[in-house]
Amino acid sequence: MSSQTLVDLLRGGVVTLKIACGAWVVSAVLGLALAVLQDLGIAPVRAVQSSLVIGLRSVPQLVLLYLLYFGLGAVGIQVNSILAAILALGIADAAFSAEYYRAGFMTVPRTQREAGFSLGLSPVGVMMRVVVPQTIPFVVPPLLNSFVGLLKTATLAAAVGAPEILYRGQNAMSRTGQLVLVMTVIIVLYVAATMPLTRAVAVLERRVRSHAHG
Amino acid sequence: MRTDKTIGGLDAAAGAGPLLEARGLHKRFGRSEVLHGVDFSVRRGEKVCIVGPSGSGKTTLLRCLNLLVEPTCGQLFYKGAHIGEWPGGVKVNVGRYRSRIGMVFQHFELFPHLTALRNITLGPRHVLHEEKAAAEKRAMELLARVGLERFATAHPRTLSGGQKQRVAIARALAMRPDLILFDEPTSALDAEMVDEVLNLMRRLAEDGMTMVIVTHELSFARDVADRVVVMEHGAVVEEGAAETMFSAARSQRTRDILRVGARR
Ligand SMILES: Nc1ncnc2c1ncn2[C@@H]1O[C@H](COP(=O)(O)OP(=O)(O)OP(=O)(O)O)[C@@H](O)[C@H]1O
Ligand SMILES: [Mg+2]
Repeated sequence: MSSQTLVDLLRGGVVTLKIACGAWVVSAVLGLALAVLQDLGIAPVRAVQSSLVIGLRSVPQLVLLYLLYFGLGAVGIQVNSILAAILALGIADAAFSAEYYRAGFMTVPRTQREAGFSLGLSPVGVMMRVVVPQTIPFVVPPLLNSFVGLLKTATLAAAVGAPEILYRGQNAMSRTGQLVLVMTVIIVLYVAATMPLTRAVAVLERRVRSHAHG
Repeated sequence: MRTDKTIGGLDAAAGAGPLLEARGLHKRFGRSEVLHGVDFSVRRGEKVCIVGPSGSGKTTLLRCLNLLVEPTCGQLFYKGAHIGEWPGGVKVNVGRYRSRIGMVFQHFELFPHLTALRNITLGPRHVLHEEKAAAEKRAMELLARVGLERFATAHPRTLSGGQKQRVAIARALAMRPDLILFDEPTSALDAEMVDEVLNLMRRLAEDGMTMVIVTHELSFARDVADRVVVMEHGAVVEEGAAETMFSAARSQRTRDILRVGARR
C-alpha cells in the first residue's frame, strides 16, 4: 500500500473521529435536555415526549441522515455532509442517552430532591444542582460506550459523501484494487481506537460501582 | 438587618398572631387518609415538640407545613398571610415560602456530591443569590458554630452521623429561616452522637430560634419545648404547655405516650 493511501485513510479517520465526537456532544447534551424535560414534564408533555423518544429510536440513522442532508437541501438549507452526519447521528443517539440519564435519575433518592426543595430551589434548580450532578458518575460509562458505537456508525456518513474513513477506503479500493489490505488497515485503526476506550469504560464502571456502595 | 429582597406577605412583620398556622389539614394518600383535620400553629420564638407513635402522621404534618406535600383539605397561613387553601392550591411562590422554613431530616439528606461547605452555601448562592465570598464566609461561621470548621472541605460520606446532622442544621441556618422543622433529627444516630445534636438544638433554642421538632427524646422535649403536641392516628389527641403535659396530661393515652417514650 502506498504511503499516500495510508495518509489518506488516516485523514479519513480524523474526519470519522470528528463526526463521532460531534455527534457524541449533541447526543449527551440533547439527551440530558430530553431527560430533564421528561422528568419535569406534566403528563401530556411527557406522553408526547416519550413517543418522540420511541420514534427516534426506531428510525434508522441512515434515514435521519438522508432526511437532514437531502431534506434540508431540498428546502434550501445547505448543510455540509459532516455537519449533517453530526446532527443526524447525534439526534438519533440522544434518544438512548436520555434513557441513561433517566436511569441515573432513578438512583437519586426522592428525599434528596426534598432536601433541595426545602431550601427553596425550583424544580429546575433541584434537577441541575441536586439530581444531575449525582447522576453523572452513573452515566459516564454508558455514554463512553455510546461513543464507541458512534465511531462505528460514523461510517454511515460515507453515504452522503463525507470524506470519512470508509469513504476514503472505498475510493482507495477502487483505485488500487487492494480490497483486503485496505479493509485490514481500517479494522486495525478501529481496534486501536476502540480498545483503550472499552478498557476505560470497564475501569470507570468498576469505580462507580465501588463508589456507590462505599 | 435582613438584606434579602422582600415580597408581599411572606416578609411582612409578624403581628401578634402565629408565625405559621394550619387549619383543618387533611391529607389523603390514595384511599387512606393519614391526617384527619389537624390544627397546628407555632408562634415566633416558640419551641413545639410533636410526639406520637409511628405512623401517626407526624412527618406528613411537617411535610404539609412546608408544602413538600400538598394537603388534600385545609388552610395554611404564614405571618397572617394566606399561603394556600385546599381543595384549591398554593397562593404564593412555593420556593420563596419554603426558603423561609428550614427543614432537618431524620437521615440528614446532605448532598453527597458536595463538600460540607458547598452543602451550606448551595441555598444562599442559588436561592438567595448571595455573592460566593459572602456565602462562604457565613458558611464558615456556621460551621464554627456547629463545631465543624475543620470539616469545610470534607465530603458527607467521610463524616459521622452526628457530624452530618450538624452540617445539615448549619445548611438550614444558612438560609436565615424564620423557623426550622426537625423530623426526628436524632433517630438515625448512634447513641453516643445523640447528645452532640441535641446540645446544638438546645443552643439554637436559647438563641430564640422558632422550632418545630418531631422527636422521641422526651427528656429533651421536657427541657426545651414550650408546647407539646401529641398525635395519634392522624389527629392531635392532646396539646398543651410542656409542664402540664408532662405532669398532668388530661388523657390516659397522652400519659401513656409520654411515659412509654420516657423509658426509651
Ligand atoms: N407518600 C406516601 N404515600 C402513601 N402513604 C404514605 C406516604 N407517606 C406516608 N404515608 C402513610 O401515612 C401514615 C403516616 O405516616 P408518617 O410518616 O406521617 O408517620 P410518622 O408519625 O412520621 O411515623 P414515624 O414515627 O414512623 O416516622 C403512615 O401510615 C404511612 O404509611
Ligand atoms: Mg416520621
